[in-house]
Amino acid sequence: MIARALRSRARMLRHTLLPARGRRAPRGAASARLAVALGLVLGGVAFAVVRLLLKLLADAGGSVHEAALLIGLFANFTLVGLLVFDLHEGVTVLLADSDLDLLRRAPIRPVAQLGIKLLDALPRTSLLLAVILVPAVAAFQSAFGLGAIGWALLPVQALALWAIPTGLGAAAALALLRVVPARHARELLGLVSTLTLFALWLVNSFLLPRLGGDLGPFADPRRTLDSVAHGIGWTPGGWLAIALEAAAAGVPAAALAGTLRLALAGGLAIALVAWTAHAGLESLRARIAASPPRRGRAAARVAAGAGPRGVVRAMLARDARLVGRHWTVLGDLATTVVLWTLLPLVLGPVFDAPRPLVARAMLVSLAVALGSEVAARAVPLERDAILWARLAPLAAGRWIVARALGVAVVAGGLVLAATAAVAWSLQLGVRDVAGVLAVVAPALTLALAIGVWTGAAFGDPAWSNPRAMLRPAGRLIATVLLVVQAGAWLVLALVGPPGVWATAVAAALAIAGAAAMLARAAHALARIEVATA
Amino acid sequence: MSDAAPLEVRGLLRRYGAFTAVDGLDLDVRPGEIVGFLGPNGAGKTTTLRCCSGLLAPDAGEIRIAGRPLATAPLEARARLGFVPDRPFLYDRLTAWEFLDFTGALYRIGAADARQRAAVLLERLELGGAADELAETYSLGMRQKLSIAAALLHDPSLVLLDEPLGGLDPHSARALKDLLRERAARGAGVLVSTHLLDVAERLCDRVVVLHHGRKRAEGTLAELRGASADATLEDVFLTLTRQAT
Repeated sequence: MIARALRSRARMLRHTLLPARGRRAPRGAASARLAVALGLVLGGVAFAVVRLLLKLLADAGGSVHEAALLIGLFANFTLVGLLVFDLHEGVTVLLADSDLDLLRRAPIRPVAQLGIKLLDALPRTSLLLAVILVPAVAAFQSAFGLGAIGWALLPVQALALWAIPTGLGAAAALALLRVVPARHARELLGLVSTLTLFALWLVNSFLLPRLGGDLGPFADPRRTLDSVAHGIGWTPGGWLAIALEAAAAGVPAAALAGTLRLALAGGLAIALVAWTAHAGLESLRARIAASPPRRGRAAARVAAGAGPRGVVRAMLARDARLVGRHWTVLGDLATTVVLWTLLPLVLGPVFDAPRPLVARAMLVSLAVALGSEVAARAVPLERDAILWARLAPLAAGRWIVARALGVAVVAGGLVLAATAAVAWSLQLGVRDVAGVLAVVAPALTLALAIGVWTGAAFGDPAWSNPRAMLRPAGRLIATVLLVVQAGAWLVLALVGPPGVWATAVAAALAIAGAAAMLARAAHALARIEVATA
Repeated sequence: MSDAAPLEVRGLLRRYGAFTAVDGLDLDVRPGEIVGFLGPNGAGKTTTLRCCSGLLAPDAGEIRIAGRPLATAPLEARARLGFVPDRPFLYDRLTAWEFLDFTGALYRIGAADARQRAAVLLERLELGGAADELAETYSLGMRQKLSIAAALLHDPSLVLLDEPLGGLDPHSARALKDLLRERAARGAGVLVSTHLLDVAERLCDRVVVLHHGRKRAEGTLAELRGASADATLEDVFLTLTRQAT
C-alpha cells in the first residue's frame, strides 16, 4: 500500500514538473519548477556558507570533531526551523487534505492511512533539510570526506531528522487541537508559527549583535562553538555529529551507532504521533469538518441609507470585516509591526546613531515592510472571490485603487501610531518628526503600490498559511523588492535630514513609481483567470 | 430589458495550450428564452460560459451581451450579465447579507433597494434563516444559493448558469426554476448548462448540444427529435454525442 502511494506521488510530481509534450501544464507547474530552482540556489548558498565556516574553523586550528559539531548545530537549527515553519503544513496534511475522505472510505487500515499522509507531508515539510542540512553535510564531506559508509547512512539520518520534529510536533499539535475550537485549528497553528518566529527573531536580533565585537565570543570561533555546542551530545544534532565524525575517521561501527540513535529517536517520534492519532485523529477530523456555525453581524446593521454607494466605501467596509474576522492575519500583522519597527535597533550596538536618525531608520523599515506584509496580502485575502473583479462592471484600475486605498488606511494608521510611539520614546521634536515623515511617506506610498502589484500578480487564492499568501515565485520577487527598497530608503534616511528639493524629488519619484506599479497591478488583475475544473 | 439579444456569440475559439476547448462556436439567446446547454464532460460548456461571463479571454470570436461587445465595452456588458459559476466565488468571512450588500454596491444598487432585493431572493431560495451566518459555515447547496442570489440581484438581461442545480435540494431547485422562468417572462435571456437532461427537457425552450468544443445540434426538443417523435431528450443527446464520437 505504502509503495503504491509512493508510486502515485512520484507520478504526480513528474506530471507537475515535466508534463508530457502537447499536454496542458497543471496548475502551479511553473511555481513548482521555480521552487525547485530556488531550492537549488539556496542549497548552493548554504553549501558555500558552511564551507567558509569550516575553513574559518580549520584556520583557527579546529579539528574534525569541532567541524562535525558545527554541522550538528546546523542540524538542530534546521529542526527548530522545521517546527516553526513547516509543522503547520504537516498537521494540515493530516487533518484537512483534500484526499482524506477518499482514504477514509478506502479499505485500508488507519495506520496505513497515517503512513500515506506522513509520506504526503514529507516533501511539503522537508525543504529546510534539503536546502540547509544536506548542503551542510556535503560541505563537511568536501572538507573531510565521508566515505561510502557516510553517504550510505545519510538518507537514514535525514529521514530521522525529519521524523523527530514532525512526529513530536504533530503529536503535540494534535493534543493541543483537542482543547481549542476546531474551526480555528489551522489558524492557531499559523499563529503559533508566527509567534515562534517572532520570539526567535527577538533573540537573534538582540542577543547576536551583543555577542559580536573584538571582546565578544565571536572573536574566537572555537571558543564560541564550544560554548554554543554545550549539551549538544543529548540532541539529534549531536548524534549526527558523532556519526559524521566517525564516518570521516573511517570508523563504521561508531557511525552506525550515531545513526541508530537518530533512527531510534525518529521511530519513537513517529510511534508517538501514530499513538496520538489512533487515540483521536478521527474524532478530531470529524469535529473540524462539523464545526458549529459562527454568527456574523446582525442583518439590520448591514445596510444603511438609500441611493448608490461608493464602491471604495463598500470595499473598505468589506475589508474591515474580512481582516477583523481573520485573527491569524491580524496577529501576524501586529507581530510584523513590532518586528519591523524594532529592526534598526539591532544596529544599536554597532552604530552610536543620533535619535532622529534611529527614528527615521525604524519608521522607514516599517513603511517598506508594510508594503510586503499588508499590501501584498490585499488581493490574495479575497481568495477566489477576487474573480468578482472580472465579473462586476468595475474597471480593474478602480478595483486596484480601492484596494490600495484600503491598505493605505491600515498601513498609514500603523505608521502614524508607530511614529507617535517612536517620537515619544526617543523624545523627538516637531521638526524631527516632520523630517522623519518626509522620508517615510514616499517610502510607504511606493512600498504599498509594489505590494499590491505582487499580490495581484502572484497571489495564491488557495493559501492556508497567512505568512505564505503568495506563490513561491512571488515570494522570491517580493523579498528581492523588499530588500532593494529597504536598502535604498535606509541609505537615504541615514544620509541625514533631506533638503526640500531632495524630499520633493524623492516624493515625485515615489508617486510616479507607485502609479506605474498600480497600473501593472490593474493589468495583472484584468488577466486573472479561473482554471477550468 | 432592452430589445437586443441577451447573448450573441460568433466564432468563439478558446485554446488551452495545444488543446482546443471551444472551436468556432456560434450561439444566440433571445429575450425571454431559456436555453439549455448540454454536452458530455469536457465538451467545452464551462469554458464557453466563462468566456461569455468575461472570466476567460477568448482566443478569437465576438461576444455581445445585450448588444454590448464584451471585448470593447466590457463594463457595459458586465452590468447586464449575471453569472452563476460551477464553484461559487464567495467571501467566506462575510455573511450572506454582507456579501449581497457588497455585490449590490459593485452594481451601483442603492443600499435600501439592494437589501429589499436580497431579502426577496434569500427568502425565495430558502436561505433567509442562515443569512446572518458566515459563508464559510455553509453547505455546498447553501453556497450555491448565495451565488445565485448574487447573480440575480441586479436584475440582469442575461443569466448564465453553470450546473446550478448541483447541491440544491428539491425545494430550492424548484425555487430556482421558478425564478428563472420569471426572469425570462420579463424579457431576460437564460443560458443554463446542465447534465440533468430531464431538467433541460422541462425547463428549457431550446437546447444546444456541444461536443468536442463544437455545436452538434440546436433547436427545440421537437426539432431535435425530428422523425423520432417518441424519443426523449436523453435518446437524442446520446445519439448526437455517439455520432460525433
